[in-house]
Amino acid sequence: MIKLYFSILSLIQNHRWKFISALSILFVLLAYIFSRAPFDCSVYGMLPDNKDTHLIQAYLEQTKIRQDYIIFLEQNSGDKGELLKNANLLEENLRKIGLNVWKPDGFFKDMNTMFISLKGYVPALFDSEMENEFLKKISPDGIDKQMRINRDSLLLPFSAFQHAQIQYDPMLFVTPLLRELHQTALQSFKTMNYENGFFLSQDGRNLFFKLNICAETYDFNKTNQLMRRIEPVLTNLPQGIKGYLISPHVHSVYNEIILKKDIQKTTLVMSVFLMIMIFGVLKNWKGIFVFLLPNLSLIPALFFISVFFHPFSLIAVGFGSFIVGIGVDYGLHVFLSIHHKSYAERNEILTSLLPALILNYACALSVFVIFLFSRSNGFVQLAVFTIVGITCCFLMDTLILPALVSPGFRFIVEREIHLHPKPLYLTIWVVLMFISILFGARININSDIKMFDGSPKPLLEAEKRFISSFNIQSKKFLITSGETYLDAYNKLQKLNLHSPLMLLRPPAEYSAQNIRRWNKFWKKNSLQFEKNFNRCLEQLKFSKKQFSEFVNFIKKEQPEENFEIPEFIREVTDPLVYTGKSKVCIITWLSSSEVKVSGVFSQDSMVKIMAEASFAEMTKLGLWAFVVLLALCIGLSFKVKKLMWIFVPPLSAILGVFGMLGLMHSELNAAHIAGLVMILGLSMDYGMYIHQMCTQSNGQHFIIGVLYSSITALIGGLSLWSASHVILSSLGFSLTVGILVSFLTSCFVLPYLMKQRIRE
Amino acid sequence: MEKMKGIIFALFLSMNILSATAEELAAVLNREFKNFSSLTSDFIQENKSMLIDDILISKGFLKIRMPDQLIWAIKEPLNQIIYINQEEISIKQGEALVKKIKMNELPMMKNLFLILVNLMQHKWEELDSDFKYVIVQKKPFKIEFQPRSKELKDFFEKIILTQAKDQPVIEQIDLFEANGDTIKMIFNNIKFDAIPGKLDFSEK
Repeated sequence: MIKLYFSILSLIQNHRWKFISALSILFVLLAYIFSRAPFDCSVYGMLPDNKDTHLIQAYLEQTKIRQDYIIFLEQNSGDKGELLKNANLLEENLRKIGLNVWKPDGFFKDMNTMFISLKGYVPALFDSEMENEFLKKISPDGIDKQMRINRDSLLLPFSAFQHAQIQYDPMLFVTPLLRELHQTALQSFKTMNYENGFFLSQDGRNLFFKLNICAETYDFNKTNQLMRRIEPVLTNLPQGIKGYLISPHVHSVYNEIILKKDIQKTTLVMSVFLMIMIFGVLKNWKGIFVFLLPNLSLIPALFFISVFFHPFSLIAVGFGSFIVGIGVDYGLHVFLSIHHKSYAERNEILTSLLPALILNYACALSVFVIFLFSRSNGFVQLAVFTIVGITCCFLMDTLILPALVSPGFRFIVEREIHLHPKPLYLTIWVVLMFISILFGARININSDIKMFDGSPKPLLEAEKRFISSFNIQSKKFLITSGETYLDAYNKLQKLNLHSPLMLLRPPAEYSAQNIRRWNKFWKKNSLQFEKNFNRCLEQLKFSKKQFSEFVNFIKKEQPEENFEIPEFIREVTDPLVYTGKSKVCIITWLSSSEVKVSGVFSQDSMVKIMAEASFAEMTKLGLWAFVVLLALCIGLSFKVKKLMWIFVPPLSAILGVFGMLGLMHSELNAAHIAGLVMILGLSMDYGMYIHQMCTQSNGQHFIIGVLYSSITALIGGLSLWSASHVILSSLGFSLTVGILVSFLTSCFVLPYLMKQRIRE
Repeated sequence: MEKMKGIIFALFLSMNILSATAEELAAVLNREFKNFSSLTSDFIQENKSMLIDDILISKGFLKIRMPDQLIWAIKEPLNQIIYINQEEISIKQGEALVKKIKMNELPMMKNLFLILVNLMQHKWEELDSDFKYVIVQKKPFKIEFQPRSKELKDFFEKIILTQAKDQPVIEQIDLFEANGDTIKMIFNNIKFDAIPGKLDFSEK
């Protein structure tokens, strides 16, 4: 193995410029491919994929495709008239920049702002069974029966609502759909009024309206441009009135902006600190290679995740600065080892250094390998990115760096650090650990995944007020999945729920066929239906004039082959069927909250389920990491007693993180736990080195290894901590505090403990 | 649900009142309104709808039990009973229960029912915020109620209550709906405190 390594090294050494040129071209190519790949900033990608979260993510995936853009206006004081006046003014200003307000149309205008047109109606599955039902419905007997029911319903006082229904949909083609929509999908908007084209809250202090645009797919540029156009208009609202653009896409854009800024910020922080450290230690311009090579190593890693994951997670990419920190650690050791040595000496030193580096590399890798088995796509991406990144760093630092730094180059870095274990350190450590336990016991767990949203606080608060102003309630969904639509549909039918389900529209592939059958049906039957219907009107003394619009519609306004379902219907129906790569999910809205079947989610429970799943996943990964590291140590023939020492730093680190969280009154989240899992692997080798230092007579150099390793990791952690995005900053916090505690424990406590043990 | 909206207005029956302006009216209402634990009445209703060239006539009975129970029963030309309280609305067609709806699911209905409860519990001030009163005629009183809020205006234009000639009870309610339909309800055989227990569907 060593021979192979040196033969590759000498090959690179002999053709280094050719090799570097080829590598540069390759990296440019990889960087180009990576820059063209689609990416995702969603936090949902970081959630584990189990039975429930799979369905929830399917729902989220589908609902994020098309979303409204809503303008929400708040008024501190003043009456409703003033708010409406300002809304009209805003509408005018928006029109000037090419944006129109969505105004509902259609035959039905109900008190709760549900608008629906007969044009939009096509039965969910217009199959032969449904065709027979319709034939029965439009038979002379069916018409007579239905029209008598309509006549009877007019007997009751206050028939205003029935009046409109009977006039425009006497045969109940649309009404059941309307009812379902009312009871379910649109039940959220319960307590609002509709005035002058605006939706007003009951107290008349808030209103909202929809813009007449709808993002077809996730489009950062489109939403970003839209936000830039709207922002000045909203900023210029009169004093006392505040306006916000509300849409899930806005969150995506803010998350993307914040993550891109974070990547820049963390890179800057990491670069500055690492450069200071590198040049502080090496005091030579060639130290730039120690910095550059790990950074270049990220390119293949980025290429890998962009090729294997569509879209790849920008959150995973944000971890890059930490990988560079680890890579610089390898570089430093290699650089320091090969200085002012002849080739023969260099090879000898590299031979002795390599096992230590491999051990360090294996410890770091072992934890990230665990993440490969995570059910969370985001963590798998993070693992792939980190494994490829660290591996490339390792290869670059062990193969390219020695080729770039010629032996014989002289600089002085002869340093020795001597530790003087004292009982005082142990006492301080015990007290600090005790305090950590005390504070750690006080920390609260925050499982709300909304906290990972990087959108600005004023917007998040405005959304809360928007929801409370319009009494938007948590809806309940029932999600069933199958290999095909029919499979999922049959499962849904088998549930035999005693509750109305809203199942409106089949997926796209069924639509064309459905509409063809629907058109064919009316082509064949509309004349006969009109004749029978008019005869019935005469018999029951209905006014023909009042129903003329309905009859005309049946005759003339059938959906065309290329008929598009109106937007307002699609908004409701689109989220209902999700066609994934291998599965189809049917999402239905439950009107009754009393139904108890598996696969029922409300928006609140979704958050809870996902949070619980992510916590469980992290805990599971933590335990696996522990087991794997234990196995690794046993594999390396460590004895049980030694294992105890090795695990002291990582366990102290975990306690330290908990204690610090408690001290800072912060809440523990899933990202903190992910950070703790990483610390296990990253700080394990500190214990190993210190153990070797204490047991070997010439082991003082190991302390330098621990020092550089922890400082580079600390810089990586600090750079992540400086990020604004909660996931990155929480990871950074855990890593920084954990590594610091681990380092201090390794250097000041472990040697004393071991010394005592050796004496005994 | 829509059927129930009308029921509320039938409860004006329970107002054995009639007077002048809003404040005076409230005083008269308090003085004249007969306290009762329950009320029963037969009714005949004439409905003129824009949708139909004929006049629809229905007959049935109404029952109220304080504080919040009500039954509106149509016996001709169909057999339908509607039971309502603060929690839910139940509709029975013949002997079969056809629908049961929780009040919480019907915010508009809940609002209207609150008006009804205010009426039954003599909270005239609360009622005043929903209606404007116009005395059309005195002895027997004829009072026109005009809704103030847009929400109520979407349903009806006005309601006219007419007092019986020789007793402090409402004899007729005329509803003018926003869509142009009109409903005339004539009440007779009114009895107070004639229901011993709670109201339920077994009431005939």
